[in-house]
Amino acid sequence: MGMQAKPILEVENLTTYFSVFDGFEKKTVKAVDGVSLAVTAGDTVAIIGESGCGKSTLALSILRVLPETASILSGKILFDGEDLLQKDRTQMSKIRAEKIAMILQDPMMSLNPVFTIGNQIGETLYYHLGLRNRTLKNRIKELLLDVKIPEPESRMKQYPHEMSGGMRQRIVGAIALSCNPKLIMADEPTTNLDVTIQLQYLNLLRDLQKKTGVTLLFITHDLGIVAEMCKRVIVMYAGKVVERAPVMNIYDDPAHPYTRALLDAAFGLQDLSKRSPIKGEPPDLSNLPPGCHYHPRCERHMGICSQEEPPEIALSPDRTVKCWLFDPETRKSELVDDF
Amino acid sequence: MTSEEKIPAIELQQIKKYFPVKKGIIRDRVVGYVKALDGVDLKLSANEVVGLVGESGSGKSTLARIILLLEHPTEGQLVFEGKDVITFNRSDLKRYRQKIQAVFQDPYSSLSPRLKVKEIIAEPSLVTGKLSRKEIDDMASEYLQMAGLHAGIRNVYPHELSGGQRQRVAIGRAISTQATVIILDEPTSALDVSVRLQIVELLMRLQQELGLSYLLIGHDLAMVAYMSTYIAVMYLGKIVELTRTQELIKNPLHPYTRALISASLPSHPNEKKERIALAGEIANPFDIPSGCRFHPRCPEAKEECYHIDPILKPFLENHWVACNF
Repeated sequence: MGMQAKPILEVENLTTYFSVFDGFEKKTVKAVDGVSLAVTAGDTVAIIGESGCGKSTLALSILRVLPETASILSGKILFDGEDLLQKDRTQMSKIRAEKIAMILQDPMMSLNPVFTIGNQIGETLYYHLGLRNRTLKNRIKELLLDVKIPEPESRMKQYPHEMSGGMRQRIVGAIALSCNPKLIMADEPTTNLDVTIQLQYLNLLRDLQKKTGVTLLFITHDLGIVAEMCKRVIVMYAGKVVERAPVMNIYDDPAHPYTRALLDAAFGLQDLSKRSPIKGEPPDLSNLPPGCHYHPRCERHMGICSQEEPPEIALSPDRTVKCWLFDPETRKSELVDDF
Repeated sequence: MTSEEKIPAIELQQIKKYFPVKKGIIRDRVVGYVKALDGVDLKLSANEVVGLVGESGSGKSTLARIILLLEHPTEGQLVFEGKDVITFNRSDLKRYRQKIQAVFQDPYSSLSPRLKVKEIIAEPSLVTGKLSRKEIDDMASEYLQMAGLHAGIRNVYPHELSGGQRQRVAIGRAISTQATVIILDEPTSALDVSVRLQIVELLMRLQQELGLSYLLIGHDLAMVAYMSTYIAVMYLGKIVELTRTQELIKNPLHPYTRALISASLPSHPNEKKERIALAGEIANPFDIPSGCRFHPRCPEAKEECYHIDPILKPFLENHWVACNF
């Protein structure tokens, strides 16, 4: 987070709940529950966690493109100093077009099958930057070359189905870059790609970041991408941030037992030794366990964990953890061994 | 093509699968072939896990479909217990289908939504014989427990289960016929990170306990390496390298294998490695490059590679590679 550097994105105490009707009763799904985070301009940050931990809902809340069943109950989203929750529809659509872009997992879903590639890249350029004719066409070609698509002249006339998965994902990248955004959120951008293509794509994002200084926010469960790309990590569990730290701390000395469990469960080519799985499955967000939501799966849970929610404890100026193990009072009373 | 002494459970000899590409409205005309498999030799020995890695479009899944008799090979033999499958009569085939089972990638589509869990598990056995209700119940309970599930879920439908539980049901079904060989086609890629390792552990435990052979298909090299004793690397319908897992990772010989290993993501930010970023993408199997099929992307391609198609030959002991160098 760096003390002097100015954050481009600050989320304060954001709460997004879904209300769903499951046939018998109304349920509240606590997808994002009091999340605060700050992302410095030009940084590369990862939000990690299992599916259903609220990381994607967090991204959708920032863009304010939540489905109708969800609502933001409280909190602030400061982007470039402005509160996005105070913006109206037109202002928000301008921000989505020009300042914050998103890359989703499946390019076949995010591209429209009935429009040409050129048409889809040109859309934001036409409406938001007011480019026309020759300038529009040239800018589209430039963007295609930026994402390393050869022969842009003929490619821009093609439809998404005429391209391979890796190429489609690069097209999505070109659309994301079209208005020089300040922040790109990438939600599992390479899950559908083969490893060699995945590396090409990550290298491409890295190069583009070097060139434009865009801030990258990865939303992923792949610790390989985090190790490869990111400088800071935010770990989410059941709608809450449980740890935030520089990437080195996460890999060398994970604080939260959940972070440690995630690392222990990841496969690595360099180390084929026995891995240990995380017990159980992620909790139901409409029926969360009391106290610390992770305690039923935690290897080190204590008496207090099932009763009271742990506070967020600062371990160093740029590192926090939400776990009773790090509370000095609790350590004394529960006689915690060194961790 | 693994260890020589053991009798292979399944052996593939020069398997080819060409899908005809047709054109024309009134009378179809074959204009060419998609060469999904172009001469594959592979032996799967008893009690052994062989991994099969490669990009999408390399023919891994076609190979699985041929072993499961869902496709007929265009050429080549599929040998089971010393006999060519093509000579099998009805009862031989029934036995073959019992002995060779599969677990697929997506447990949401591989389990029938209309059947209860117990019916799903008993279905393969019902094909070969009659079972009473009591027997179905007992059988389902037994295999559910072996797959790490509570026997009580035998009466529910798959939509009530989570992804991990469904994959366990699929595994329970695969072992319910006393199978000796299980084809695992990306068994964990549809699952969440935490559940993924649970399923891998279950598969490895069952492999040990029941002495199963697995053919493990995957694109995640780290996961495949974690489970397999041998790994075969496929590229455009051919095996380009085959050796023991440790050997493959420490001493990859084929440039494609080297690229795959170098492209896999690090498990620690400090892990700096030499990166071979392959140019381009896998070629269209309709139009396979001349000579070595990897040469357009190969960083070490030389003159000969444009003309000579290398064959898979032993380079070191227990290490086969198909490269001109």
